[in-house]
Amino acid sequence: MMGRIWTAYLVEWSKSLRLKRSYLWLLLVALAIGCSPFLRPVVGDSVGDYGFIAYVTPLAMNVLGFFLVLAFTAGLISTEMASGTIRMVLTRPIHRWEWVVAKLMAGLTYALIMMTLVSILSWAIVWVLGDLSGVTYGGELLSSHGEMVSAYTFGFFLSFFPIAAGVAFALAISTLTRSPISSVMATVGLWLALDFLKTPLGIDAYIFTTYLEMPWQHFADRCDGIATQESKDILHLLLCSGTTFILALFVAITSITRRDFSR
Amino acid sequence: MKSLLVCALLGGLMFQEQEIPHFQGAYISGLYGGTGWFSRHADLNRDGQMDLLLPERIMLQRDKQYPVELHIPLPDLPDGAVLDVWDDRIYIKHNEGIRCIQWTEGTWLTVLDQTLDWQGRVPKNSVAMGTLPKPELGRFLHDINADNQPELIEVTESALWAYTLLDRQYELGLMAPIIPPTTLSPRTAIQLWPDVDRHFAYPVREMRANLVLEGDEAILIQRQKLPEQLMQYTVTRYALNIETGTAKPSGEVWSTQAVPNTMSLRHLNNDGILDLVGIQQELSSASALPAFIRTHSTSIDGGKSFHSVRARVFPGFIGHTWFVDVNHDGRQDRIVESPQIFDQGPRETITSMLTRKKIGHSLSVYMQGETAFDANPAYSLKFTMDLSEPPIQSGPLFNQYIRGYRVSLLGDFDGDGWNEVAVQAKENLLELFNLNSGELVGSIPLKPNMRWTVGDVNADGLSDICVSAGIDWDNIGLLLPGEKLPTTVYFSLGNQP
Repeated sequence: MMGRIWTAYLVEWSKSLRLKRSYLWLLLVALAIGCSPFLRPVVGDSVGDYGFIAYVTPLAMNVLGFFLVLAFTAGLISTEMASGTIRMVLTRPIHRWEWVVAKLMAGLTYALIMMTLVSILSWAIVWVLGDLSGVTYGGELLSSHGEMVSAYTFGFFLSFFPIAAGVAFALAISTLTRSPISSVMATVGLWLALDFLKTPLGIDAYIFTTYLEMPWQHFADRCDGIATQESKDILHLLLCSGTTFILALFVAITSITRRDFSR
Repeated sequence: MKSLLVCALLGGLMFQEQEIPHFQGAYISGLYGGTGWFSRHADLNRDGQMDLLLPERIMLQRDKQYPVELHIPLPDLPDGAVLDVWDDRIYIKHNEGIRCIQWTEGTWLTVLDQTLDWQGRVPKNSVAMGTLPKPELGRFLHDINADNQPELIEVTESALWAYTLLDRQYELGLMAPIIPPTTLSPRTAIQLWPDVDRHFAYPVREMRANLVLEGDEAILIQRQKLPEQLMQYTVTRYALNIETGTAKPSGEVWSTQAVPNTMSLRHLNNDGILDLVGIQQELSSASALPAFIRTHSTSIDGGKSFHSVRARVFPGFIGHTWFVDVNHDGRQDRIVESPQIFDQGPRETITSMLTRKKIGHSLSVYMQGETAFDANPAYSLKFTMDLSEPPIQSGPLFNQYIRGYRVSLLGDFDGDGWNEVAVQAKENLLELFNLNSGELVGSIPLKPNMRWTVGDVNADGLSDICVSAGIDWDNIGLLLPGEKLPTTVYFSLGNQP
């Protein structure tokens, strides 16, 4: 079973690599990060510039990057359904659910590449233009470089969970529509609608998008020299993201396994 | 309502309500702790209970309250008179001299009425449109020679003047030329270019100093600007002698280190050393939104070392107060408040600003120890503040919140030596929480658009709550000029079973 999923994943990933938009969107994110020093200057003045990283990362990874990851994943299955190639795929010796999991893994890989790109570029800009000597205030070292790296790594690790939930969410929408454009529009539209309705409806604590940027708060607090407190929101993040991931995957698998593609 | 029920069932703080016309209650006296009053306490009828002196009347206390039948108007006062109180006597300073009155056997007795040539003029009150100049409360009495007879103090541009009582008449007893000379204000400098900024400049002269009277000492605190946004405080003490009419420097001139120009001098404990406190605000380096980082810095060793705490705040967020002696040990403890809306990332913050009607509020108390402030907060409390509207709409509850009117740590309502936290999390309810346990210990229902302050109105050692109407812009035209809505005082009765 694992072998079949792995093979399907390699096939799906190689398909994704052939798409120009996969590279174009990564380039778009890279360009956005590259232009950020014009908005928020980085100066090599022996004062730590971790603030730039905290400024860029949530915007590039959790706003622009997340949007592009959603768009990428939302097109993974709907494209196959629109073109009819799904029928050929389903003739292969593979379960339908295994194929959905392979698609999900392709989406997660793309998200991981996006996250890595954002991290590398934002740190590289500060390394080249600015200073990475720790956070100081009034001559006192508040956080060393090592502590900042640890805080960022922690944020990166934690940030993957809500993004993965988003990938599963987009994949589920992708299985419910037959056109890639309507799939992308439905995914992004639902995301925005959820974001604006979750608070008035009082369900914000249960929606994974509430926690999208939360993982970076620990790092941002350290950049501003604020004493951070252990947050119980981490548990909420893991629970909401995990629940959304499982539910969305269930919807995607159910949708594909029960659908009649002969018509 | 739930909290009211809990208090009713389990017991807790009880309050006795009284509506007091013309009484304005307390206000936050700066952000460095303490309560200011629009009235003064004094035992005016010598019955052992603290009465209230207001600019136009006195209110006598009976059974911990101020019944309306014991509100006694002051006799006619000269325009622009300034009132001060000493024991049971009210001193009225006016342009022509000084008058002293006393409430005795149900009538006003004039104890002293004397003309005096003041060195400067008694400043007249600002006159609101359609109103007459009113008397106001001030402070001009101080007993320099410890004879229990107050001297009349006057400070002019050139000197400190003290009039002392000799043969039932006040005479000039001291002229102390300790006030620093004025210098040409840097604001006088005119700019020639660009020509649109060119203007006539009056040669303004200025001098800034604080003068504090403590016993027979005058303490002059001067602030000297230094380059690179630094400054230095210099404290000079003068011994005042009424008998010889002289003021001589006493002790050494004490100077702080060069400190940032946001620092000011305060007494944060009883060690005799003046302490430095300051707030610096800067834009967050890590946020894509205009979040501010507020740095609270304190030095209790004359500027040799500083303790700083940083918090993320709204633009314009003030908070209630920055220092309160929460455990009544004589040492002011540091209060750090922070709205929890900028701690979610830029996208989620914008969403919250647009849609969220409730925001989290954190309050931390850093205790002051023997030699320093604690590095970590001893108490951290979190509340959810109901704003009724999303912050972006800047509604009345939001404005009350950011101006610090909805949280207070200034009151000890049960007299146990620890202050309680008063929080108006919802518009219609003021709740009181025990600082140590975080338990709800009392509550007071509020009407919409009401403002409240905390202070010991009847001076019985238990803090009370003054509730008054906020500005109601829709109905402001219904009030006569100068008229104020009554204040309802909730007098604390302490813990009741």
